[in-house]
Amino acid sequence: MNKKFAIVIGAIAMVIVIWTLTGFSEYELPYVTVKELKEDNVRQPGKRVKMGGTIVDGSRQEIAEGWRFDLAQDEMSINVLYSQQTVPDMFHNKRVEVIVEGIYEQGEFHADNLMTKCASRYEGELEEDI
Amino acid sequence: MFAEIMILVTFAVLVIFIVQPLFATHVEIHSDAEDDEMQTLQLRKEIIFRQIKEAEMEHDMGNLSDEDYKRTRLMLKEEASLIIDDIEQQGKS
Amino acid sequence: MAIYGATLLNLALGLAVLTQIVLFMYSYRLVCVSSDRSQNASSKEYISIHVRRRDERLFHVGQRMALGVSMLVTLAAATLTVLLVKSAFEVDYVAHFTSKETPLLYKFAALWAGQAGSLLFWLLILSIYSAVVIFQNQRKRSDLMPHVIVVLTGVQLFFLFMVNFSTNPFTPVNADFIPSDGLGLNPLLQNFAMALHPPTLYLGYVGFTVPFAFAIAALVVRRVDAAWVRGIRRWTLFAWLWQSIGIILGGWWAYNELGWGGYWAWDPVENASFMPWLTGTAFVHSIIIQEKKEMLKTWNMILIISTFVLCIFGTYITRSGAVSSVHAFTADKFGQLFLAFVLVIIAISAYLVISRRQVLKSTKRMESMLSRESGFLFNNVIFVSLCFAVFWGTLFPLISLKLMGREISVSIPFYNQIAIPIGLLLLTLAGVGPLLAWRRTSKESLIRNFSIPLVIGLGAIAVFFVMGIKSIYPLMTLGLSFFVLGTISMEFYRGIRSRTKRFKENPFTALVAMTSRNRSRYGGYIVHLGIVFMFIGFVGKAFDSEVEATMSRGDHTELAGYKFTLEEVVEKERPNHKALVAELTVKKDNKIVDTLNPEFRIYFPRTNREQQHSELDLQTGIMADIYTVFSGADHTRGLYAIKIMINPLVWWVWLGGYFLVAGTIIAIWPRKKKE
Repeated sequence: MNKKFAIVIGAIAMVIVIWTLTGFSEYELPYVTVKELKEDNVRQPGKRVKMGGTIVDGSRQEIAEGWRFDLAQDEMSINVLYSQQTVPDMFHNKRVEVIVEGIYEQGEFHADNLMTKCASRYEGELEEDI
Repeated sequence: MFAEIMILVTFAVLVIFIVQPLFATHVEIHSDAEDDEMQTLQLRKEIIFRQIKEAEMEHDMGNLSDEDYKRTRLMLKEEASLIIDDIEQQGKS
Repeated sequence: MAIYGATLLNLALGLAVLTQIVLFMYSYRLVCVSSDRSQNASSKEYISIHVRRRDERLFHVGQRMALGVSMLVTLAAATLTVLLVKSAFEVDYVAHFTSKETPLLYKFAALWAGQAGSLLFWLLILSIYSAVVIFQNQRKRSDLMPHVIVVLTGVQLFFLFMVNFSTNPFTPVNADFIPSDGLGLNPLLQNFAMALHPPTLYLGYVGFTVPFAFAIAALVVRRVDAAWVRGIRRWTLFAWLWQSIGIILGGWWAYNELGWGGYWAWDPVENASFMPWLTGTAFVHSIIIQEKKEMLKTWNMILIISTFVLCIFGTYITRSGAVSSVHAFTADKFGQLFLAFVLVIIAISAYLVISRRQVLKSTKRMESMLSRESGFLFNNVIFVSLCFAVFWGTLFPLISLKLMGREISVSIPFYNQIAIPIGLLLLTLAGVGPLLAWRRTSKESLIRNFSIPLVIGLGAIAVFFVMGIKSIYPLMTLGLSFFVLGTISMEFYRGIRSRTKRFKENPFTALVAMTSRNRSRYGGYIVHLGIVFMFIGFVGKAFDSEVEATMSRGDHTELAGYKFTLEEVVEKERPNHKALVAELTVKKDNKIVDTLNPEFRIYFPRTNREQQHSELDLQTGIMADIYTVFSGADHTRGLYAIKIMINPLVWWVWLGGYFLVAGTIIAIWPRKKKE
């Protein structure tokens, strides 16, 4: 009985494990850099990717579809079109790091998901009062 | 200065608290390994008895069919008698 | 004061090391006394290494040293709290997480708002737990206790090392000036649920240290029988309870504060608290088999060790930068130290489990697939597999970086496609398992127990199908929920009936008597009931609807049969922020149902740290929540962005939470001692 049992239990575990390991090719979201996107446009035609960076202050623009802003990473920056009007609170901060998910097309990043750096990790810089 | 005094006081209280058992005149002695063995057996016995009661309750409620109940009860009783034998032997030695 | 606190932490570290040394000397008889000591206990001349009897005084000293560590940590935490309340901005941590206008409550909460403080807070909880364990077991389990204390202070030692050398909360401000004001706590965190969320989660995370310590101690002394399992049952449930509360509160906060209308997003921080909960839940179930049937000894060891490791890992994930991207996972020193600690735990535990494999062998065998034992076993495998899936998804960015040289993360649908069917399997087991007989279940019992619930479940599916729910997962979930509801109600009904027959009690006294006699059994059922309610709530997610509109005064928009009118927007100045308050009337069939007031706030206005925050407003209902977010404003032109959502059945998730808590408390509640 124990042997039969072990087989059944093992089989269940195996099914879930294999499912986990193979089940997400459709849900993968590679992290890309701005540099890769710009230089390597051929490799990502219409593929969903994830990208992080700092919003260039002063570039935020509210438009009919949502928001438009520039995302800076190292020396480079990219124009992002975010298709939702509601943005996280931290989005408006002067210096804010965000992660966007979406598709890169014709020199523009079309994002449909935007996350700011986790709130519980919010730590600012101390400044001397004058 | 205040902080230094606080540190000294804390340290002194701590040391007194810790070394105090070294000067105790009476020290309790640990139970022996056999006692532990006995305790384990008693616990097993208690657990089995509880299971017998539980099976009885489930049978009463109508969850366990007569067949299941009889079998469960028999097996638990066998187990219990084995443990009681062990306990008696332990008690003798 | 900061110096006092820092010194306390130094002392605690030293004392924790000494505790380990003393208890090692005691356990391995490095200092012994002769056997006739009992005749002349006070005399020290008898100390010798020839007679192998442990010196009990050494154990008492060790115990007191451990208590001393706890005392020092408690004092250190108290010191930091005083500094926070007194706004001592010369301390970096205080200046970072509070400001003059931070409300007093959140000055206390700042203790766990940042990394350094939360590590100290972790230590504080562990210290309190250790002290409780020592007091509880002063005359009990004398064989295990020395080792338990060694493990507990060992874990303390690691965290003391961290707060002393890696992130010290008492570090002075790193500048040549003392700031006149601090940065203040993030407004998002100035919320009651958020203030309570970390402590509850920590009470759970840390709580699993106690069963872990007993497990290791049991392995060391090779006594892995029912006794140790029995001893830690209540501790395990206690830790599990707090962890559950922490997870639910976290979801509640996200739902009520973040404004995206959901409570769970599978983000790494959530996953980090979910993984130990999964293995912990498996453990809570499987110790029942070990207690009753003396089986699964090795498996239980592995479960509790993994749960503890996942707790440490969870603390790391939530407390480090490795959140949105795991890029920096092992890059910083903080992470490396945590990783090293985890590896040490795994190595020691693995050595102990392998070297004790003879005593861990169980003598009994599974008899049938349809038995309570096998029900528990299936539950365990499924919980652990789900944990693996979550673990894989959470760490995939790291794994892919190492294997493919490219950081790839997975999106929410990945988790859902695995978690939903597995969740349904678990829901089924929650209904079936408790009604299976131990060892083997006869056909007769099966028919007797499951025919009515099965009819109820199928009936529910038919009714909901006719009502217009056509998608497969919601239908299955509702059907299974009703099936489980059926089994649980039948259990209660039959229990009451048998008592009213036997003892002629009225149904209510019967219910009370039966529950208090079998606390873990009926407490467990109530927890299962809570889980069923939660699943009903999850179904609502499939029927969410939302609309986003730019409105000016007097405009209206419609959603799901409701008509929303923006009546007025009022500007208000408050102590630490300025707010635009919208007045939004909700009408159904031309009757006003409710008026909602979502707010658009600006914290620290007119400074360069200006921060916007949308304070949402919602009307909770049994069938659906009306959820409104004031997400943006162009006040001069009179244009306002409003987002409205109808979220069905969310209320049931919180209701389930209450049942879960109530049931667990019933199961933990101590039985009256029989004489």
